[in-house]
Amino acid sequence: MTRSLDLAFAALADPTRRELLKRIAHRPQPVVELCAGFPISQPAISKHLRVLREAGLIDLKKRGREHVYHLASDGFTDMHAYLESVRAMWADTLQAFADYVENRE
Amino acid sequence: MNVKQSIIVRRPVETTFKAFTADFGRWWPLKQFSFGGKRSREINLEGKVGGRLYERFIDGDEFTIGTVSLYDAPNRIVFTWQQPDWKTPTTVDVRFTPVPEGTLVELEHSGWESAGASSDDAANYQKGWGIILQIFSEAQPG
Repeated sequence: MTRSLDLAFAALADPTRRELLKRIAHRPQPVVELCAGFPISQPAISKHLRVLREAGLIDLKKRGREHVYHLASDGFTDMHAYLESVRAMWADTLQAFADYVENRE
Repeated sequence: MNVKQSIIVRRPVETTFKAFTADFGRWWPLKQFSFGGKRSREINLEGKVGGRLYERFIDGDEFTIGTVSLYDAPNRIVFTWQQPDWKTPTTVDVRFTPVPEGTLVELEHSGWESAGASSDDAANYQKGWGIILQIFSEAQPG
């Protein structure tokens, strides 16, 4: 497991962060809007957002005069890259297996 | 969401299955793929239900990668595959089918949806790969 995937999974281990991620996935929005409906302070929300951002799951961009959080593709890309490395492992090992069986006589 | 890979082996299905299981440690490229790295001395697969797939290290320690859950010679073997830092194992399903050229070996590595889960809370099973997939697929436009 790569470090970036570890970060992504650790980020998802918290229910508040999972809810934040779902809201951001639904619609990019600024931190003020994201705070609505949560019984915790904006600094606490910002802290959660920072964890999600460091995990490559969300990012911040400027929209007019405000900054909005949006879904980042990094976390997703890392996951596919990891699965691709697993697929490559099986491609190599199955080839090694076929070579072994066909050449051992 | 599964990883799939297949290959044709130009030998009969019985020969191919037996080599895959009984000779696992002879054909597996341990220098290239191992959990123990330089510590790994050998890898073995015990060909029976409940049998282990494990690496043995130079100091005698062992690391169990998985356990055989289905053993149907000469057609199919299923075993679990667990990384040291994962709570939930993934599953490797290998099928051996007779074809005119010899044997078609089809491997499917599945169970990634929960593989990243790092909590003891079973209700949070969807954490990890599953929730990332779900969130990103829901976020796709259209």
